[in-house]
Amino acid sequence: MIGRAARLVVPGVTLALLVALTGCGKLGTQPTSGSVGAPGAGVTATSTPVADDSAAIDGITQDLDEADTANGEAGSNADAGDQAGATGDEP
Amino acid sequence: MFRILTVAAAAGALTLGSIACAAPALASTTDGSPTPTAHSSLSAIQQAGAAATAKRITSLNTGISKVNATKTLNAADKSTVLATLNADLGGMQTLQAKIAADTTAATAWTDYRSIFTDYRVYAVGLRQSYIAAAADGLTDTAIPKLQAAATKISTYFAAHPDKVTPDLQAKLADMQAKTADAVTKTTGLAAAALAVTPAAYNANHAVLTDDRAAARGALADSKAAAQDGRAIAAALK
Repeated sequence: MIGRAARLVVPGVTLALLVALTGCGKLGTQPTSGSVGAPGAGVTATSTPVADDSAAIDGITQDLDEADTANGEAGSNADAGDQAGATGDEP
Repeated sequence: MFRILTVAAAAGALTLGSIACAAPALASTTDGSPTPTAHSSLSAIQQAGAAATAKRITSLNTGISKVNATKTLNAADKSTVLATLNADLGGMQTLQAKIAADTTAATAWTDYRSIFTDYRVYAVGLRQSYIAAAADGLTDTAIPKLQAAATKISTYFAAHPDKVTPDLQAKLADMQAKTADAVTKTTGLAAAALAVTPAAYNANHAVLTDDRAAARGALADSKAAAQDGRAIAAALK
């Protein structure tokens, strides 16, 4: 009896240890993050910074666009002032 | 009551330029010929006076419309300019009627000279208004946008040190320095330009020279700063 029971218990304990150590027996468990090769892993880690970078550069460009527009208007006004100054205004 | 700050332009020729986003044409440099003298006949002086006042009345009406529409001048300066424009318009209309009704050449000559020496529509009014408009445009829009862009670039550099090269750092430093120079040159510029009177011009024909130079210098600084920013943004893309 003892030998037969041992033949059943040892593989059972081994299987139980294997399941416990690998976590493969946990129902519904999904990789959370950082698991290389896991579905979705890495997508979040790379796409957000790229989007942030693009938005930051777009913001810089928009500011520069508005500065250029204002510079253009100021230049036109400065030109017009010079033209006025060149206009005769003596009796 | 001839404190004049006139925004006027040669009729049909000189406009308020980019105050209305339109490039002005070159103005004529005389008020018609032959130019009368103190010895001219009453009718000659009256004819010249009619032409000179009509030219300025048209210019003032055009200027008032354009200043009303502009977003370049800030509210306070716009109010100052418009008050003066309307006062000048009234003054020109009064002179126009008076010269036409004058009965002696001597009186007409005095009134004719007043068109110029008491108003200086082109030499002072128009010119100072353009300088103020340029200064306000830089102060209220261009410079704040350049400062905002420089701040964003600095933030980007801090977050991405791997992308920062010595050349980009130098460009940012130059951008900030040029913007600071523009701030220095435009501080108080519009007010200074608008404070110039025809009397001050009569005493010193170069009275607006420094203001004009400051506006030009600030504009050059602002453009250079924007170019630095463009170069940085292009390198970061």
